[in-house]
Amino acid sequence: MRPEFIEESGKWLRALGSEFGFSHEDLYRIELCFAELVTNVVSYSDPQYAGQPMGLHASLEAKRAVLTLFDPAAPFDPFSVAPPPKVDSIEDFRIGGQGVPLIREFSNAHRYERRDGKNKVELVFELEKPISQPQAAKVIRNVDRRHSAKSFGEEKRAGKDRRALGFLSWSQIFHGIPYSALETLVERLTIQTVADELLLLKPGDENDVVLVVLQGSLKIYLDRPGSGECISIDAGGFVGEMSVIDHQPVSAYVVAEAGTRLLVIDSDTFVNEIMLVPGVSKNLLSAFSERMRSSNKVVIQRMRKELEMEFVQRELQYAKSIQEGLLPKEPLFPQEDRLDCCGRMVTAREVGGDFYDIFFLDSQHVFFVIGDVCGKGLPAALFMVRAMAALRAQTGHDGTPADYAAQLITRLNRQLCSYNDALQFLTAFCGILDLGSSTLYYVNAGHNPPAIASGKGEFSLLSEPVNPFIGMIEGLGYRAGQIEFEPGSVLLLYTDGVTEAENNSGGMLGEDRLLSCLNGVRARRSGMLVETVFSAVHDFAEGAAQSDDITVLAISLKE
Amino acid sequence: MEISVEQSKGNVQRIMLDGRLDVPGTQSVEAKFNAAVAGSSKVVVDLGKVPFIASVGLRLLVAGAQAVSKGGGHMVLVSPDEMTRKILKTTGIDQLVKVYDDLDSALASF
Repeated sequence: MRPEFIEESGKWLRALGSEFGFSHEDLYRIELCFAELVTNVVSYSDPQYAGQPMGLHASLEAKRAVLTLFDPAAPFDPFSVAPPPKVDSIEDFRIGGQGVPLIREFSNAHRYERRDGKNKVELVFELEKPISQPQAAKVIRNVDRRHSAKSFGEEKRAGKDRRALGFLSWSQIFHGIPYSALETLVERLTIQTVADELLLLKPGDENDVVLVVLQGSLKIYLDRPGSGECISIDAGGFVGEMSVIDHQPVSAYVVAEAGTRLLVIDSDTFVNEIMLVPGVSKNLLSAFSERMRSSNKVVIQRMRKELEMEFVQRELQYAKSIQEGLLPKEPLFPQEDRLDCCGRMVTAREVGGDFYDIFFLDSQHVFFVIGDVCGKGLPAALFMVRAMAALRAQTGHDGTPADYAAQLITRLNRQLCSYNDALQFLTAFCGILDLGSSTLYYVNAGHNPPAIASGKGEFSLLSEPVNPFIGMIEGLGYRAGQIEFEPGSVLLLYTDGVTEAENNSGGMLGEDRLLSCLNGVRARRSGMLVETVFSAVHDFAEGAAQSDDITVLAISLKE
Repeated sequence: MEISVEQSKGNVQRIMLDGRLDVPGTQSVEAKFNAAVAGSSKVVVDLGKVPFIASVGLRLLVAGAQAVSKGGGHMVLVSPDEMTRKILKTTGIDQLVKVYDDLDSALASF
């Protein structure tokens, strides 16, 4: 240690004292405790930490001073050291170890904490005389610490012993145990250095050594090495004691990080000698409870993640019910004696990118649409909501229904192209059914061709004309088609979740199967048709998970 | 940190310390202090002008007392201030080395 360092920091404390008007006794106590603390740190810590900066922090309140000393040396709680024994004559008095009792006596409270790789000792002094400055002051100072070759004659030998004791007394097992009780034991044990990251133990392994971490750290993984959740055993900690005591196989993965130094204690020495050293069993028990607490923490973290998951799940459930609420209510037009319509959407996840809509523009014209946003889940659902809102906002109709349908999709494309940084798009089939003239005007924007049947005729695909999909290419014009739609006719719209439904062998349902199953339906009621399509998909999939949203909308003109 | 030594009556070695017995202070007087106690059988260490003592200072005093005691003699302390007295009590040193309030009672003890 450099004498000038303690001197320098002592001067700083005295300057604080005179600036804030400490009483003589208060200043004496503070300076004494600080000097003892620093002396202690310097004499206990490994010389490798010499020269690293220490930090001193003083925090002053009206009637209280809090002094905090940080040092970067190996973990060491000065308050864990037993006080020197009482002796009867001056000859037996052992020099050294008086510092900590002085700190206990002359500070009002003390606390040790290992934090961010530093030892942190906090000393609290209740001041006998309130300080003169009204507002609290906070001062921080970094001090430099170096060992110097020069030291007190008597201290040299003692210092060496105490460093060796320090090296063990900060470990959990040997916490506070006099070095004399361990000296002969420790001499026989080996120290092992792990050069590269190494898997030391894995579940099921037989283990017969206790490893005390002298430097570096061990990581304990419950699930698999390298997984996110692990318990870290840093310098001073130990592993292996459980399997040594109960002879059960190892229950977790233990990985040593590169450069870790371990004191290896064989099971015989551990059980028959070390555990008999007074104080060791208490240390073991407190280490067990600490470890239990930290594994509880890991479990709690896991539970918290699950709860968060549940929360997200609940949010998605809300989103699902909002999305379902946007769709037209079933049954559709129950009071309408000219139309028989039914729609149904089943999403692959909680929310989806499919949609359909149907409403009267006026007493003679019914507008309908079915759409499919690329992708699935929440992003698709947000775009779907945009598309539906934009379509519902289109009111009034100018020109012929064919023009109107074409303009509608042209405008929708323009609207969705703007503010579309995520480059989403959708396919849609929309149309206007003119109930007066029994004519269907429609626009197909990249969507699956719907199935159509007139009267008692077979279902076929309504394929022409075809237009590009909506939302990515600006300035497109869309062409409408028209077809006679006399009473008894049925239009069945669907999304690709129907025709691209897969079975377990990778086959797809396809348009032909769809048409033949529709043609198998005798009474072409819309509800029956929709039901038929869903059960065809269900039967075809043979239990394979639904991978896409499935939507079907059937519109028929009553005879 | 100053140290001065004088022979009092009855062959008592009186060592007067003047200054702080902190790390640098102790270091600066260590050699002279050890030399002053060496070979003496009656030593009075006067702490009347020591406003501060840390454990390094205590070690100096204890080592001195041990050296005197080994030679069959006695070392006593005199006039510590209130805080220093408390420190001697906390460390148990006041049970092993006699502490007096004034020089006369210290001298009378031999």
